[in-house]
Amino acid sequence: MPSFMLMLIAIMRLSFALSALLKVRSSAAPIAALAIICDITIAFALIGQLRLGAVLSLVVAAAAFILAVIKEKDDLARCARDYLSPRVVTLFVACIVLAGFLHARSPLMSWWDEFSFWGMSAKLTKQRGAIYTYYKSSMLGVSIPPALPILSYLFQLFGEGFSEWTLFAAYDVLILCAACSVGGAFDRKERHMGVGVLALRVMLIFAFQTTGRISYLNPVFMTAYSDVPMAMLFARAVCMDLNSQEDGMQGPAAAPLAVLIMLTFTKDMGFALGLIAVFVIFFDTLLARKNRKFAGMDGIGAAFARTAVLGAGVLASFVIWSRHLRKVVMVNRTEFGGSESMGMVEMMLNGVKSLFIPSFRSEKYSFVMGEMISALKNRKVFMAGSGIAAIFFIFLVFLLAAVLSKDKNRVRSLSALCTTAIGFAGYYIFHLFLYVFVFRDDAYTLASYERYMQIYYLAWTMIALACLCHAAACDAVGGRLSRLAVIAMLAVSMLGFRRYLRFDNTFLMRDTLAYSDRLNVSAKVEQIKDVIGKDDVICCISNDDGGKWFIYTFELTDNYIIPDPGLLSPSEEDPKERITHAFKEYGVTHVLLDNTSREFEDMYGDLADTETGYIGLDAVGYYKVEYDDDGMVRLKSVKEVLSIADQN
Amino acid sequence: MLTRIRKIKDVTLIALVCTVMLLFTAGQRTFSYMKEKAARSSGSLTATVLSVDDFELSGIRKEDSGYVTVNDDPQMVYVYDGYISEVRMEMKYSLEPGEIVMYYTNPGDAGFSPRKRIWAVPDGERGYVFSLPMQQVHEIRIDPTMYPSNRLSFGDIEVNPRTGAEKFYSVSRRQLFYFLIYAGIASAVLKFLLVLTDNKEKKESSRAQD
Repeated sequence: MPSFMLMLIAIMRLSFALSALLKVRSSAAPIAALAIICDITIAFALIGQLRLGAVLSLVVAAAAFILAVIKEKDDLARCARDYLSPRVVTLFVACIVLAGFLHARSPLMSWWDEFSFWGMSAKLTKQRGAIYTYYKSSMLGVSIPPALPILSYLFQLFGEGFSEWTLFAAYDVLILCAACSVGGAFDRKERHMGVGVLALRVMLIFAFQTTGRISYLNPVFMTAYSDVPMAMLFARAVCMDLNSQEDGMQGPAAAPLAVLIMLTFTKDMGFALGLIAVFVIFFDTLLARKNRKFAGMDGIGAAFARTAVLGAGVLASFVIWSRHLRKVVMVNRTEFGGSESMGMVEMMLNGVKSLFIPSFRSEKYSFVMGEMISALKNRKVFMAGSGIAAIFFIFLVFLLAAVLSKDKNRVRSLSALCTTAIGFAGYYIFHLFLYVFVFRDDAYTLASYERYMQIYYLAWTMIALACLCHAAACDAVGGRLSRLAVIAMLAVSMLGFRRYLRFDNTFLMRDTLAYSDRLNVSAKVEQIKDVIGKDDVICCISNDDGGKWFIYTFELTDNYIIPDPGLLSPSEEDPKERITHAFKEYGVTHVLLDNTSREFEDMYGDLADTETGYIGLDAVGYYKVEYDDDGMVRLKSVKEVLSIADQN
Repeated sequence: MLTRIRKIKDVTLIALVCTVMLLFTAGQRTFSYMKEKAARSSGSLTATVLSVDDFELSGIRKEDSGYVTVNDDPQMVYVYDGYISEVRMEMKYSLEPGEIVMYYTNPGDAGFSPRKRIWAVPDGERGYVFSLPMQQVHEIRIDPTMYPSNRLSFGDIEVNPRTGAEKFYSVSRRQLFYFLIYAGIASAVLKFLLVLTDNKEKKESSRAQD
């Protein structure tokens, strides 16, 4: 908790400095401050100085705060009053309350990709004090950029060991900071609207993460997944611009730039979203801005210059991470690998060609394309329905905003509607290419389709809402109706929340019952932890879909763990020779058995020197790999626990 | 009069909303308490203690040492036919149980449905409680775990065990949290409605825009 508070205070300090010195809107300042701190740390992490970067970013925050206080000392009271708008106060109170809640409940990670990458990377970053490109580990996906693991690291900088609740709290701070400023158009006098809009945004996050009446835990606000943070950063970068029209352009350009850089470093898809954001911002600057001064220029030239700066930030972030990968881990990021293993450029060319020339399409392409089109109306992406319904709803909000506002604001809503719609088409087509050229068998079922699309729909809704809030706050004519629309949306989404989610499925309600998969593995790790050496290379064999292997890699981050090298797949080879061959190839020194199948026992049971028989669901065995005189594998029992329940 | 209400301070408004909500909740809980008390004295709501042998088991095998689940959807069904407001189960598991739920049917229902499903709330070291608004129930079905090979050590399964008032008047952290959030949102909406009906404010704000 002290580390968490330290970081939160650093964000407050820097955001105050941004608001006082650069005249960034107070609602936009916290997310900009968070992004700047994170960006500085990322820059140092890339050269292997993560800790230094983290400490330095805290120093920068403190220095900026002192500078702001000295510079504005005559006018400090007014600055503080400007900064501490009701929304910002609510934001920080909400962050502290949420962190306290998570601290008390200590939820755990429970979903697949948290163990394969999102949680694992954060844990490794914390434990080793460096990002994961610098060392070998059992983690997959080393090429994913590190913004979120670094954010989690920052919030537990001085803490002992890796803490899961701090990670959730860190991401929630990011989400709330972004939500605070999306559509931050209402001023101090209308604090009730500010509160209502903040509540609406939180509700919308639930609405776009829930597709039906569910029975299991829906870990919104306590997950290491990047989806919601990325969507919110994207929405944030766009809306920061929409709302800053009265401000001069010079100052606020730094704020969206910091957010865009962080967005690009969040995930590979963040680059695509970053480009879309720049595209939306460009047209907004060009068509809807009253004041277009930038870097001494005015008019269209200024719009181009500003876009160029923002675009350069996104491109540079992408190039820097790619170069880092090539240099440090020798991975070429533009090679996508996957089912077709083609380069990025080749993939785009192929994809676009197939899109326009039907005869060029492969069978897989045509099939996936058909699925993608029907998915728009068949797959539920939010509480109330399919993609078509979501698009209808979003268009409605945009059009409402356009009708209820006037002049430049109307242009703004319409321009944002058109550009985000084009952005959506691009995003959708890009996913088509990903499914066709990168995904293997999963492509035919459009694996994780909902998750990928929800990112854009959520951000899109946030942008639409920002336009509506802007209409409400800026124009007296349509102000009442747009206020009414905002409140009506709040009421509807609260009803949806009650109907579909109920408390049982949210982070507020849950206890350990939701984490049984994880806890069952943890209990086993606890039993054999004392016999596992630091340098052991472990082969983990379990009769399940592979999920357990991921949890083991997460629990035993110090060791290198390889999955079952296909020991049960049909083969002509003698089982003994096969296992010997596989273990020698991977340099396996130890074997971990957890719930093996009867089949495994039949094939490999006699390799072990003990009469263990069957390793069941609540048992675990740890064996040392030795080689007998013929060079064949022998498994020497190190520890076997035949019933976890009896041990506890 | 209305002008006076409109001038109300935000803090007063929030305090008012909180008070009204508090009174409403207290009234609601007292009503449930009275209802249950009446049902108990008239004999329609009775405390019953069941054992595992009373249930019809599927997916659970009886062994010499106890009970073991054999698939990932073990079920225990019991025909109760009476009023239920709470079921408490004592159970020790060899594996983490995962989701523990209870389904119920009212008289005339065709079968169990996800709409009539209650999640267990842990109570003490081995206890799990399912609570529902008091109603006439035909059958109950407890799904005690979602894993096979889970060894179950049953304690008592009590229907309507608690008689005291504390069941109705206890306040959990979660309820408190929701209370505050709902009060905040309700105040915001009320304030919005007050402002919406105010013509003067509108003129002022449009002047400010110019």
